[in-house]
Amino acid sequence: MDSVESAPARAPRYEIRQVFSDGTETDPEIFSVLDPPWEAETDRRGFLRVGLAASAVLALLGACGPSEATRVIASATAELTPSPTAKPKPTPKPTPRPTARPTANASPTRTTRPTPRPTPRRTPKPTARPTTRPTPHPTPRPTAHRTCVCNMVGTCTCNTVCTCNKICTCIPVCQAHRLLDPDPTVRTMAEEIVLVMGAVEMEYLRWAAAAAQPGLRARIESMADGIGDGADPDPVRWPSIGACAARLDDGDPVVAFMAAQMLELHRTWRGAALGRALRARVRTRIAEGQAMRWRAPASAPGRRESAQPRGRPPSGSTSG
Amino acid sequence: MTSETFIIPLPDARYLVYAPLRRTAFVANGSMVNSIAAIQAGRFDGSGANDRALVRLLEELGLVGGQPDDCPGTVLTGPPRPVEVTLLLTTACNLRCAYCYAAAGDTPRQRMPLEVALKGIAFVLANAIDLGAPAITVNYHGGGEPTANWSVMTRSFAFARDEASAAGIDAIGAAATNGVLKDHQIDWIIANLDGGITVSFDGLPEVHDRYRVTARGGGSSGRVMRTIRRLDDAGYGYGIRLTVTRDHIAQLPASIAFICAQFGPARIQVEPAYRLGRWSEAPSADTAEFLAAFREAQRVAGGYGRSIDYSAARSGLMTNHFCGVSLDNFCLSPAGNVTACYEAFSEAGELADVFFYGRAGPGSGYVFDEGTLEGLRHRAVQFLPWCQGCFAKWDCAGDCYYKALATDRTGEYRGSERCHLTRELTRDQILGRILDSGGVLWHEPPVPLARGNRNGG
Repeated sequence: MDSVESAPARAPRYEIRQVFSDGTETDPEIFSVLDPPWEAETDRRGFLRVGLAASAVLALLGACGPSEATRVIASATAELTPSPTAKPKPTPKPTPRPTARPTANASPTRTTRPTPRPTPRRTPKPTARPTTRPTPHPTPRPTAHRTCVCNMVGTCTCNTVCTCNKICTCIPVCQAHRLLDPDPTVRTMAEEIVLVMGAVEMEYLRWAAAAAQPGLRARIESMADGIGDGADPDPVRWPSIGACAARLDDGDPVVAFMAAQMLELHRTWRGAALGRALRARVRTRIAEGQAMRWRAPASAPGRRESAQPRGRPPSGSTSG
Repeated sequence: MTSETFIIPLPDARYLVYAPLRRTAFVANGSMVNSIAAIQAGRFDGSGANDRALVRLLEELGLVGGQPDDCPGTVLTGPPRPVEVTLLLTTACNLRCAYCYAAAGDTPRQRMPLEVALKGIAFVLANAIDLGAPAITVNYHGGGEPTANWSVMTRSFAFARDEASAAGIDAIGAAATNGVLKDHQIDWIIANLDGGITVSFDGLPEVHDRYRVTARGGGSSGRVMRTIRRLDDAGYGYGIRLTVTRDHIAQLPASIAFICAQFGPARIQVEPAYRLGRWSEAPSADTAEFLAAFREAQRVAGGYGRSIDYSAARSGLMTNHFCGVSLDNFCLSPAGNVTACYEAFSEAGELADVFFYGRAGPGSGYVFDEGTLEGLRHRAVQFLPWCQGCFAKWDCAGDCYYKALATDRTGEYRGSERCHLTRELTRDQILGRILDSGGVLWHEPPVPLARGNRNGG
């Protein structure tokens, strides 16, 4: 068993350069990735699939008209479905302990401290003591793409295409009505998701406050005031991935949906690598949440399609 | 081209195109790579419809026609103004781990006096007040087992919290430990160290007990697992650090499955055993077999909704510093001298001249050796010619200086055995990001880079 690279003699060179061509003329193409490489077969072939022309990828980015984009994306998404002939991969039988654990995010071990941590930001009126350390590399939210209200390419009903290239988490349901939940994890999830939605969803917050009992109404209004004053979400306070995952199957569908949103935030903002099975559960919860159309009314024309919860209402419906 | 773009070969004549500073990646065929190369060389025709689409796509992604890259380039200047101190409390240890980088327990026993700890804390607290920082951090780390100097650990943190509270700021505590702890120590950690702890634990008890033995030669897994269960029961946030020797590589996936099934750590870090300290003559574990086992372990962890980490593979981080060594890490040895690296904990160590850059001065201050400090600050990746063509340079940032020097003291960094592991696992992560982004391309807004080249600036 030899070391993979003993006494390297040449410096690595990965800059863009001409690569070998056998003379065959092919169009430039981009290939989709089917599986995480660590889940690919041992010869590491087969995790790439269909090739897309640059124009098709442009459509994916929303650089063409919505209808064309939807068509291309639907096509591309269909292509991403694994082949039925693909060899099934062994799946471990997880038996995770169903406990929720607030977590520390960064290990103090030397080799895990790559960069100076950013100064923890303070959010107004926190109700739970932060149990995590500041993330070493918080990913900024895609603020330029907040107009998106759909997250299921191919089943889009609002005729817009998300250009942020990821599932959005800015869907208000009844998070504000969980701001005084007795479970501090649920409370924190509600606070942070409301902050993530930010001023864009002020109409929702006003609706939520108006529909709430006085104590909760005051809390929602104070959150709205904080957002108006520029309060930002604070990843330091986010419940851990384990704590969120433990609530994905919560009996309260709002809590389950918030857990999915929070996990999506972990993935997209903080770069957390959720496992495949967990990602699938998150997608399912978000899809279920969207199907329920819990969204609050909004004054922005054409923005929201439902004024009241439809389908299965969340528990304690009028108060969220 | 306005963004630094790399190509990474994949099977079947495919290439991973990666523009780290634009947080963009996709998998392309050779034709696309050659087109991009032609654009970069200024000899791209671009007249056909497909060519125009390609250019437009690259423009959309910020690789062509935009503002030039904003590279990570922070280099601190001026006197260090840390708001975080790491106290290397002792060289004593209740274990004799076979692969201990510090050979703890075999080296002369040193214990940090309380006044050394208090002076360090007072220094970072004064900096925090001057700089308006919201918190100070006090880390307790090795050279030995920090809890072996229990009195100084608890009293110093009480001091930190009281003094910080009086100044209206927070004190965050964190520690690394071998996990062989008494109940009252676990209670104290849970109650006090908000920043979490990292517990060294190698997974399967039979593997752990082979390497992590007590001073009398017995296994320690039972005690460590008891500690971890107590942390779980308390809902306390902790990480697990798992070290893999060459003989243990094949059992890594099973060890990860064991940890995931039994415990709830917030983070699992996996590292091959490094040939340092007691393990300096051992065979390397930086092998292709380790890589395969790590990937399999990652798959296993994913089945539990977890992930595992390797220190130098951190795609998307965008930094020019591997760790705090080049960012004025403020660590105090038991004698009270300032070192930038936890692993360079002894003034008598072979690399002490490289990493020790200060000592206690009169009053509440410290005296810093500007020459040594400058040498450390210039260990940022932009100063390492070897790394300039590597696609992982803004992620790994030149890797661990201590480990590089420990194997090659020539001074000029020329890569290490870890480089291949780092690149392979970074490539996996980039592909994973593409997959997570829908499978076609990864493209996110750039991360705002740290600004200011002066301490406190």
